[in-house]
Amino acid sequence: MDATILLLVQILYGAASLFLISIGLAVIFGMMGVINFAHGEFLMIGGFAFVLSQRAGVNFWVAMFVVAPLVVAIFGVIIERTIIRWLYGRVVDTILATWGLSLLLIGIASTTLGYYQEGVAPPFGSVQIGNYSEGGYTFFVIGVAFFILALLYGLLRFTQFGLIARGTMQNPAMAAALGVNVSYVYSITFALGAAVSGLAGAVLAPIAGVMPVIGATYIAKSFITVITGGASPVAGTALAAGILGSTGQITAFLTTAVIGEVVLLATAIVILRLLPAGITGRFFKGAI
Amino acid sequence: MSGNRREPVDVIRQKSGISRRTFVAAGATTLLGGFTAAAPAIAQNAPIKVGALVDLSGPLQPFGQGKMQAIQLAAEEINAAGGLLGRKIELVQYDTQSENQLYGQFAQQLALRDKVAVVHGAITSAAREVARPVLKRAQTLYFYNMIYEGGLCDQNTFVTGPTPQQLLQKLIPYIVNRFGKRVYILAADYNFGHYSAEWVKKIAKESGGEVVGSEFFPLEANSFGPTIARIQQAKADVVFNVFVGPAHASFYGQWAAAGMNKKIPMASHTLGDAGDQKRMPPEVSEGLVTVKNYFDEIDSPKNKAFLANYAKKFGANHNYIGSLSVADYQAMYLWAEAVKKAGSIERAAVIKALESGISIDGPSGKVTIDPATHHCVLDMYLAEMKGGDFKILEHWAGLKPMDGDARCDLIKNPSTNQQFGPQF
Amino acid sequence: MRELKSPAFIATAIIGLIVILLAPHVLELNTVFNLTVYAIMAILALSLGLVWGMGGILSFGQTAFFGLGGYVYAVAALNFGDSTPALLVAIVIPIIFAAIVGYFAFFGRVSDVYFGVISLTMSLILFNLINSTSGSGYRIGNAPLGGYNGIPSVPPLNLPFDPANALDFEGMFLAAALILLAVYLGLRVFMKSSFGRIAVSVRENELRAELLGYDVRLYKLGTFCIGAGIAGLAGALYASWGSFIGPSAFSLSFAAQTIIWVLLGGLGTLIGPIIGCFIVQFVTMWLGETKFINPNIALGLLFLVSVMVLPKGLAPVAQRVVSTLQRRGTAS
Repeated sequence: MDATILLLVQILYGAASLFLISIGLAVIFGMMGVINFAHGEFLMIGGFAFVLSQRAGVNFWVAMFVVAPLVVAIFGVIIERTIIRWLYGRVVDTILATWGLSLLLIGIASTTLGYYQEGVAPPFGSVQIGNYSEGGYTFFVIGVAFFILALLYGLLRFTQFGLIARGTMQNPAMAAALGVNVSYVYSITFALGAAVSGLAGAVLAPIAGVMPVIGATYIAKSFITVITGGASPVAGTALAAGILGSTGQITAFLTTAVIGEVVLLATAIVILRLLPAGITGRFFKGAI
Repeated sequence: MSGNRREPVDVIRQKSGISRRTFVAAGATTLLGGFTAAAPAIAQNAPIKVGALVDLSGPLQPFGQGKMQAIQLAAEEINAAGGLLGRKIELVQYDTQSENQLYGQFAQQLALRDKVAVVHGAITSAAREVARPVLKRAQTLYFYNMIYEGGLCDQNTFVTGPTPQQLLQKLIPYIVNRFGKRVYILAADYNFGHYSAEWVKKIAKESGGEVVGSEFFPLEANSFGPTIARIQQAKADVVFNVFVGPAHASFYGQWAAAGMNKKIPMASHTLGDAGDQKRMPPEVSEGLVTVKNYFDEIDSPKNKAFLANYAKKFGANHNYIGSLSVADYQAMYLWAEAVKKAGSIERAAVIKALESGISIDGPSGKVTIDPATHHCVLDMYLAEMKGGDFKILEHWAGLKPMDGDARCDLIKNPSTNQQFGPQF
Repeated sequence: MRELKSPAFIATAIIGLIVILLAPHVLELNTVFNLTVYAIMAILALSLGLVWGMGGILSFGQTAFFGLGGYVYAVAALNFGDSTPALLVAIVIPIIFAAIVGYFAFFGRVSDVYFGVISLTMSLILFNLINSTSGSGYRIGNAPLGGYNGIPSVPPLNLPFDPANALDFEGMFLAAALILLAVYLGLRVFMKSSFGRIAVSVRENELRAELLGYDVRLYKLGTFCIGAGIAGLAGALYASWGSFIGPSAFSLSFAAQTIIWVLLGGLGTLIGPIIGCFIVQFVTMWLGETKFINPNIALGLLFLVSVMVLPKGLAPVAQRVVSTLQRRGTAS
């Protein structure tokens, strides 16, 4: 019994962490058709912003929920203004430019911030499930994932900004004709995606540590999750993270970490073969 | 020949931190070499070139930087003490960027263009296996200064780091006695991890313990939830890990978050190789047990002097040095000692001198070359993390490498060129 | 086959041949050794130049075929003891693999970015699988797969069907450079063939090509398979050059590097990928010697700049310079 509950918690955690690392990329891809290959480095910057500001004396929660998202959002706006905006409509070129940006950021981080960052211990202690103990932080990560899911859904579904953003995403020319400042909406959307990435990077920092090359461990998986999810950023990513995260985690439980990883990737390939435009390309069309 | 005489200048341009005087001297040598018949006499005073292949960028950068600094420090000390055979040492350093391909190219360049007397370098075994054959073919002496899976047997290569069996023969009985019989192994999924795990199984059994589970992780794995559950299921008394690299380091945080660090003790022989323990919060690292041939915390006059020199060159708040870097530092001295003994930098003579069982007194204690295997007889220390530092609990002197393995005898069979797997 | 008779083609062939044959006599041995690996990587770059630049197939995982070729060569050569059949297998198996993946994807109408993701994922799966083959259990005949440590002591190339006669550095250079020249010229001829022209038209407008009655899926599959074969060949040469192949051939960073070569040199040309590859390899090596700047910063900037400023790469710029010079020459 306790083993089953633990397994369920782990499955939820697998899906939640996959959702967290992907959602920022998904917002930017879904709303703007831009694939940000420097996304892993956005997470990395979020992690560094959290750890460094916390060490500088900022309160743990302020560092995680305010400083990290804010720093990455500002950084995101700068990148959008200087690089991305010249490449709208050229999906492949944006992938390539941001891939270059990713290398550049890794280089800058490893020469300036370095590898010698002391980590931050995850708070909350442990929770006892029958004979097993599980980190309280695991539940926190799951909670944050649901929080971001709800927040983004509410923001895009029920607010003025959400309406305009969705309109712009469906038909930028029409939105512009109706008086929407499209370029402004893009900037805000990009900042939103970046902020969510920054938060995710900070939330995962106590578990995964912070280092300049950490982005590489995230980017491939998040990229695959987002594409598998398809066009709807929030619903698609949640579904893809749920499916991929749980198949990966269950396999990892039954076999080994390697096979879990391979099954996760193979599942993504099969889904893309069956649904060439991702999950929300077929189901839940028009969802957010 | 003209290409040959041009080289010192090229090399000097490439490297930083060389004094203007040596530059001028080398320039003068070049010029004079072109004009006078006395060139050979002057060439004898030309610096001795020592090659270093280390990753200063890319994912292996955190290991490479310290190793390069150790080499630089040793070279500087040797030069300050009058050099070797009346000549200065000149380092030719290349950044291999964590790319195996560059190991091939730069090893070739060191041997053919720079004509170095010896090459120190490579971090991963894969990188070593790219550089080593190149250097062997080019007849350039090679030092591999790493903790590694063991078993390499090649006349042209000397290994100054410890092997799994050397590290584990004392650690495993210790943890079985102190913590309990049921050992759970978590290891990096590559040769070093697998060989280490096999040694643990063997030694644990001999000391009355048993291995109740073993798992292997790719080097980029950083999510360990299912594993932590399985360890609890297995009711292990102690966890032994062979974690390697920054991704695996995240295990400790997850382990502590689940409250496991207060329930099941953990030991490792890779923890603390290059200061990784300093990147953990003290409450996470408290109580971890490890074994090494070197800790910065070793309290010996030789180590105090080494730390003082290191701090003088790289600043008082330098990073943790660790055993990986000290292996390079000691390798430089072993080689220098052999050159002095041989009275030459010529490869065959130096190998002969090294094979005479040469030894130095280094920061890690007495280091002696084992003639048959070209590995080192090393001291070992066992330590436990206390408040963010290692506290040394045990010390064993003179542990032999590849104990009881008679397959490698380079004195009898100098033409052996093979890597032996562990054999029980 | 008019291309074969064109003066530009013949001139390129002759000049290329002369340069390659002279190089070992003029250059230092060390430079020859470096040029060998540059040439091998340029063959890989050409394969991506074909698949992506000519066929319009976004193959982020082109390096997977390179790695596969390297591994197949290593395993085959260690078992056969002769590099000749090993080299052939190292071309054929990546082609078969590409045929399966390509059939799966193209006939499922997976296109664009989605195909890019599939190819990248395929590469990462191979990376994971190969990485997990440590330990003595994983060996094929005489060849231990070695996991993360890779396969060392891969036999060098030998004269065809004559294992006793292994190529030395110079021979290896000649082999690599001549194969590069042959692949380049071969692809030029291929692009002028009807298959090549249709492949380009599919890149330009898939729907139109389809409406004209061509089965675009077949043309994509064909281009993809040829590219895989060439990449496999490059992988085999690489394994024999350094007598080593390891899982980093399947890594994300290597995949990225290959894309930089093609992009910097010029997408949609054949000479571009070669130029781009040589430049990046040279810069990488130079950075390793001088430690002038962190290589990631340099490569990242190069990547960014080539997308933003030179979206068509260096080759068209070079062509414009050459033609301007020519015009001036005729004017004066």
